[in-house]
Amino acid sequence: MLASLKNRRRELAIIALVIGVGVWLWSTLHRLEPVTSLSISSDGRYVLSAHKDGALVLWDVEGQQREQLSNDANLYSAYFIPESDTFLWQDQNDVVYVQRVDGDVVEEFEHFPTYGHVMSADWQHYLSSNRTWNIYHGYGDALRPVLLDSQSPSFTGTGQVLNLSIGGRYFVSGGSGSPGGEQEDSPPVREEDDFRFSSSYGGVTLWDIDTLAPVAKLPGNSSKTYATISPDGQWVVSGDENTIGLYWSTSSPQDRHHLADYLSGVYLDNLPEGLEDDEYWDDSELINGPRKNNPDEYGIYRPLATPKTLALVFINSSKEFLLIGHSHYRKDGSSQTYAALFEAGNPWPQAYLDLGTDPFPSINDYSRNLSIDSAPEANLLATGHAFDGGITVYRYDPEERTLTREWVGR
Amino acid sequence: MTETLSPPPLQPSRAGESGITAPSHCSVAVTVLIVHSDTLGRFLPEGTSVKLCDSEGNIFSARIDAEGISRHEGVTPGKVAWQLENTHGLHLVAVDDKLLDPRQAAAAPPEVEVAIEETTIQAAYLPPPISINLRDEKTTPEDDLLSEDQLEQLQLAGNNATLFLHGYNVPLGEYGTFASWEQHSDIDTPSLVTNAHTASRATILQDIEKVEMPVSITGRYTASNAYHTPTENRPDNVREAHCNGSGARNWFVHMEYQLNRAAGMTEEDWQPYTRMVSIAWFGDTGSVDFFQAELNAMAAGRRLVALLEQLNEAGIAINIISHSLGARVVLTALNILGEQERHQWVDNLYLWQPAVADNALVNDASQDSHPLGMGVFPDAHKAARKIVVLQSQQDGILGPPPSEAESFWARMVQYIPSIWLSSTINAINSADDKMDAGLGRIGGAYTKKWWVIPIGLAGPVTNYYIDKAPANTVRPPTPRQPPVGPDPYGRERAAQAWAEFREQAIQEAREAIASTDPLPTYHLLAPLAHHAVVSEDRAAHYIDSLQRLVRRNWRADKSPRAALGSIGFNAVSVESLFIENLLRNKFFDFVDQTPWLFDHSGMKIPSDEVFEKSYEEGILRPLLRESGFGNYEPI
Repeated sequence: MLASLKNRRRELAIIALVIGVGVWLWSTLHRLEPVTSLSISSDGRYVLSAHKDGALVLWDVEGQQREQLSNDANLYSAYFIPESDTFLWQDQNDVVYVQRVDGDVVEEFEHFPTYGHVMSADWQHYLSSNRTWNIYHGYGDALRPVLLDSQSPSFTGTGQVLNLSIGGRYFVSGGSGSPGGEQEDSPPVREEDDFRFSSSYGGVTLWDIDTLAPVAKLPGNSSKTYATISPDGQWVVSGDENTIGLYWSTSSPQDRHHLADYLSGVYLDNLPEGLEDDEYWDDSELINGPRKNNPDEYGIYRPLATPKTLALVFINSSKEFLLIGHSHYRKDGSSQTYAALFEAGNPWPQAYLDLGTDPFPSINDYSRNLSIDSAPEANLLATGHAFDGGITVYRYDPEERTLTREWVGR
Repeated sequence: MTETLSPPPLQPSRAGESGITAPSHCSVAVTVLIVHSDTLGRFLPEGTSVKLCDSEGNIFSARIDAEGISRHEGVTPGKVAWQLENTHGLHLVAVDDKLLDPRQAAAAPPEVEVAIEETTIQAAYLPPPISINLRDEKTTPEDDLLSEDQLEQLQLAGNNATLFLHGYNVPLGEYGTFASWEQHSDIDTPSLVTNAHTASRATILQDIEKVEMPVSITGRYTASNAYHTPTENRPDNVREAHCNGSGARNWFVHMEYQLNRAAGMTEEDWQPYTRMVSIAWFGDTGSVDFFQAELNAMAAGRRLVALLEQLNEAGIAINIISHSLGARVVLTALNILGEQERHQWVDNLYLWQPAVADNALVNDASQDSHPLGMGVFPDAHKAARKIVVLQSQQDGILGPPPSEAESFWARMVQYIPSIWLSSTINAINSADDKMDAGLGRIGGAYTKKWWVIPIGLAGPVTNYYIDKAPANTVRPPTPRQPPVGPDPYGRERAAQAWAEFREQAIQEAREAIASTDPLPTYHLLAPLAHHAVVSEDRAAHYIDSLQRLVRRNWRADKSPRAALGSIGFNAVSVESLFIENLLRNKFFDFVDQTPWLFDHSGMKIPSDEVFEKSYEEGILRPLLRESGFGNYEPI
């Protein structure tokens, strides 16, 4: 009697162990690591993501399904070509694939390991950046350097990927700080012996996509800087780790405008030194931003939105964009997950829209700055997650100016 | 595989004064002239003794003359080698046109072939290290200043000076010793000369991975027989201390080497190697007396002003890098300069993991959370053109990491005994840094777990004033038990004592002002030493604040602040428009190292990431662009 009870227990233990190992195996095999780059198709139907472990995943937003396409993708290579069902990705043997969502590979070519690449909607322009933030146009025999004047800044040096964006007949590169030097004296392509200590174009730069020449250096940011151009090519907006937000019209890129700081307002350039601290700011059209309900130990109701920028994305064609701040997850409820909504050409935040904390969006890591993207015509925003391999797709309602979660894919 | 080297055979000019060259076997004895100069083109000091050894083992000593030449006569033709005697930090980096690794040249001095009747050799050495010792009592005003030679050295090396100040609990220490040729894994032949005495003292960094120091294993194992005692390479910390020294000296050789490397120096060519100005101060007060270390930091900061005056007067550009509590030393000096309207004397100030309050740089003293007014340096910003804070929330000492996921490990850490955790964090640190970590823990006893500014004041302030202040002040009178007789609770005695204390402090302030010394020394008012001169009003206010603090049983009115080296300007920029303005104008800047700096002292032996992101991108590139480090040029 006793012996049979013992045997029964042993059997149960073995069964439990087998089930446990099975569950562990299943979850391990199906678990995704956090997203390192992500791109949403212009119609919002698909999201392509590359993950920390090299997984490449195609997410069907409508069908709410996912399919893993590869396990050796370049971490920063997920990119949907605008207005098409075709995307780019690169494998870890450095082959770039131009591939349709149905699996057809339209083209493939060998390239250097890219740290960010984009392609124009007409497929005429392929731009890619390397680890040291040099920029190239084309591939294969047609490969041509666009920016090659230094080895710095770099991905390793700044800890973020150089972001590139195409709009109209322009493209924009983000950067780090505002390097000096006049454009006339700074050829963007140099012989290696003549390299600059630090790139003259390491800050935000507007380029002509046809001539591949710099149109204007757009100075004023500091530290890690993200910049994007509106799809119609009319506006360039930038934001940085130092909370400075700027914008320019591409028709007069010499005129720099400040985006309002959420608490202080618009910084007034060119005022003399020696004024009172608050005289340098115009706060006339500030709206109240979201704040934590309880004060901290210094009596301050901490704001839940920050202009310390991780990414900027157009969310409503070329009319409105979101400034997405960098924030760590904080257990005390002070995570700064609200993005500011701006109208193009207007310095004042129009609304603050919450990305939520569960799942926590991938806004806590500058090296994952490519894990946020939007489909401006479809009014969709997609982000990775801070702590798991999932994605969140948000829908923006231009009438109500609200942001709601469309789908949390895991 | 490492290339095995013997001392490099060098072939200098064999042409004599007559211009006729001759084969080596023709000469019986030759004269060797060595022209000794440093990499800045200065001849080595006249009178320096040079010991030359020929292939027969004969020694020929000579002294360097006014033209930098030592003349050695009667030398047997063939190979010779030499060493300097009684010098400090002059390490050989080139002979004639041949570049040398100074560590190898010290282990096995290069051998040069001499053949004809008179052979001239050109030898180039690194200039000596420059350090200022603000630890010891000053006996003359010159103690805190650079010599004429040192000023000249800085002027020739780009006309700039980069000052480095170490952190808390770092003793002065000693320089290391050059590994001998036997200890070098990449040298297999001895030289004619073995470096000894001062020539073997290493003032530059050695790679301990290339040094083998076998020791017999006698403790744990028994040798199988007397002839085959097993050996093992000495552990890293022993080799590190032997080669690279200890305490502040150890910091200096590491930081100087990394700064040069980040500025573009390669291992193949040490000629551009630039000496920083190393500042030692008395911060090793023991792991519990942080308050005394802060007072010492401020006293050192007052003394630093004289050096800054000297450099400014000489027209030498000044850049400063401080680590941890070294920030308090430099901010004290800058606050004094700022108060004295001596603006923008410092090109760039880099505060690396500064152990000061996060609002230390606000311009409004009323925002100070420190109950005694030690937390804010309201005028310091005026003395610098640019101030950059390098902070990390993951440095393990100054603050908690940004809370991310409620991960398994995060929860587990709660259960790990703190002493174990600390020793793990600091496993690769040297002893002085363990003291640093120790304070992190002890700080935890007063506060939660991490550094906040100020750290518990009751004990240290009481101790400081125990033999300076009248009785019944910082240590309140004990009530009589039972409460009978006059003044049973001691209130009157205390009030009287505080009034007396206040008067003494005012008197100290008054006398200091009357002395017309621009930087008088304070005793009772030492916690206010970051101000050039303490007014009578400020002195009175200080004693009132102290009295209030004692009356409230050492409970401060305001919450303590997080450390600037942990959270940077993140919180204070939200509170202070002044800070936000300076950040926007880039007078203030920051490098958030949270993703890559995981150790409070992680810059001493940097990971590749710390080197590239903090040293190269964070410090040297902007420094070279906006000011200068030695003669390195931004390309």
